[in-house]
Amino acid sequence: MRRSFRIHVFLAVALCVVAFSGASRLLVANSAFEPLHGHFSEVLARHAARELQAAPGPLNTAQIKSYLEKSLDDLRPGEMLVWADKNPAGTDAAQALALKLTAAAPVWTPLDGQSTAQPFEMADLKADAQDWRILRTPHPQGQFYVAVDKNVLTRSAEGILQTRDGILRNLWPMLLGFIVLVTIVLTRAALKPVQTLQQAFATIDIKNPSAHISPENHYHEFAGFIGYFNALIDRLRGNYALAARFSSDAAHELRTPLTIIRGYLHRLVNQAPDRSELQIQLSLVAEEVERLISISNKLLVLSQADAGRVSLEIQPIQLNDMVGEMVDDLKAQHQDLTFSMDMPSGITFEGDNELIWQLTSNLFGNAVKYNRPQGQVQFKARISENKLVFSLSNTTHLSTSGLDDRIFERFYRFRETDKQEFTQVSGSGLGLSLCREIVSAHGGTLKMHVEEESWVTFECTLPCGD
Amino acid sequence: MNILLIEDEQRIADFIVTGFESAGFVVHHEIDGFRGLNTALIKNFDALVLDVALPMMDGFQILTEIRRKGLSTPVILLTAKTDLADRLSGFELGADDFLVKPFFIEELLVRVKILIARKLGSDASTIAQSGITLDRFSRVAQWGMRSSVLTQREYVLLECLLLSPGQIFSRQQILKQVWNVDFDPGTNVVDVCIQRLRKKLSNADPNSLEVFPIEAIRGVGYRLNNP
Repeated sequence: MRRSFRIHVFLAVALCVVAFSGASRLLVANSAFEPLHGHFSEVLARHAARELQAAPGPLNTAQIKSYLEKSLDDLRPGEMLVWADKNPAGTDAAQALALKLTAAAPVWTPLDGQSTAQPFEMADLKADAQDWRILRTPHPQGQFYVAVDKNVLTRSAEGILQTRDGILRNLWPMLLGFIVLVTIVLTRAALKPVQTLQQAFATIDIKNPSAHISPENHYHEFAGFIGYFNALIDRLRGNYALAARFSSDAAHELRTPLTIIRGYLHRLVNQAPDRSELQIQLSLVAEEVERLISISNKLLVLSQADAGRVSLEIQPIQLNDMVGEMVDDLKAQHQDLTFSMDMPSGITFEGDNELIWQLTSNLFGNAVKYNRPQGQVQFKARISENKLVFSLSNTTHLSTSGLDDRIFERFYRFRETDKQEFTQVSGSGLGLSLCREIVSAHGGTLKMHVEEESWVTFECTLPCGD
Repeated sequence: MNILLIEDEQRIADFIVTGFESAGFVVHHEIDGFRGLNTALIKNFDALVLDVALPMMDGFQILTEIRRKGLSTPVILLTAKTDLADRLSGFELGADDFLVKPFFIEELLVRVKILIARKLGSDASTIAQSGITLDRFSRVAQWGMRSSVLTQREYVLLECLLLSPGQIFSRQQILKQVWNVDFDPGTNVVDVCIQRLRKKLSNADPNSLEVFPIEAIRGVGYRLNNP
């Protein structure tokens, strides 16, 4: 299965959300979440300040306490005490705690986030197995104190977390949507520069030796990657040039000796007594030399195709004329075969005349060579959607099982059985691979179909201007 | 006829020189571009056979120099490359013809003869050999009392044979020169075409004593016999 970057990001975001909520629960459960206590202290201080301002004049600690009790959830009896220095009207418990506070003399720290008009200070005190958070603020009637059991603060924090959990339980589709949204945004952001880079890779001109990806146009994190790509493309260009030079060198090196051999052979054929054994043998050798020249010519075109530089001499080609001429020649030579042609008149397309000739003559040559006695050859051509499609079908004496696209491979020879010798099949084994290269150099495709009753069809599709 | 051959490959040069000499040409051979250009400018030649890849100066440079000096000697270029760009630049620089290695010496001879004939102007419109005459413009061939208009293929085939009398042309050679096809053992278009020529030109009278000059040499090829 292919790995998906999007799924990985999605899992990572989901993991982050789960880890965050798990960690916060753990911290609160261990009462180690001091900031939350601070937060509730501040909330309490704000409420107290408001009550004090709302009721100027003599302090009514009981009334303020009852108000403050409402600001905390789940407050149990005895967990909040309120008193003032000069108003000892507080409860017994409050008086007891006030005494303990005086005795303990804890360090007071100012509380953040309060109005300067009513500054609060806070301190912690342990008394009678209870852990108190005490807030105080100056008042005309002496210091005003509020003490809260820390358990309340923890319970409040837990309450919030529970509320949050409840929301999560009820609204998980929304959370999922949120995670998906974050995933989409993150992948967009992360993939965008990669896509830009990909675009640059795709549009680089392989044939221009100085075309490189410039690292300035991309994030500096990609510099190393771009460097590798540029090095790779340079090596590719090197091979490319090497292959092109090799084919040209090989052509030159082979052509000279072949020219000489052929020349002397023809001279010897001319000098030998007419119709002598020697003359016939020499002309057989000359034929083999022709075969060698033909193979080297085909290999040259193939190696040019490999280097991506078949030089096409584009000109208008009259398919009707070319095929008609070819079929006329073949009819004269193979009178037992039935030829049929089905194509509209006046098919013209752009191509390299010599290569297209080679293509069609190769295909027709095969159609005749592998045909059965009294067999048939059918040629069809049509133009549709700016494409020229022509197909050549023929009957064959060969068994067609096992005949597949391998016949387009170089030096591949189709044998009906493994025991059949190569020598029984004539030809170089290069013709069809050359055909395919010729067609693809013209931007087309060449395919083979095997049909029932020993029919073999080669179908060629070429782009066509009109 | 005087020919200047500029070719650095000694073996190819030897074989071209003997080929031309056996056809009655006088060949002067130079092995590098510099000397070749010098000789071309000093002496008079009927045609130049110029290899493209040469030491000192390449064929294109020599050609440019020769044309710059106002010499209109016909020039045929020999190259190992089939690139269109190469051929086009050759023609632009003033080459008259082009031949790709490996070539048949007979084809080179034929082409050089055609170039020289074209240069001389006068009798270039007809070729006459062994009793056959061929009109280059109307493509009409005549043998004895019979004359006939030839198709393009028949014309090229006959011209090829007429320009090299006494030379045996193998089927592959004819296929290459007339049909521009590489070796293809599966076809006998050559034989069919020769038969058509024979039919078109031979006297309908079977008792005619004249023997058609194009002779088939079994297993080898065809030859236009010298009278």
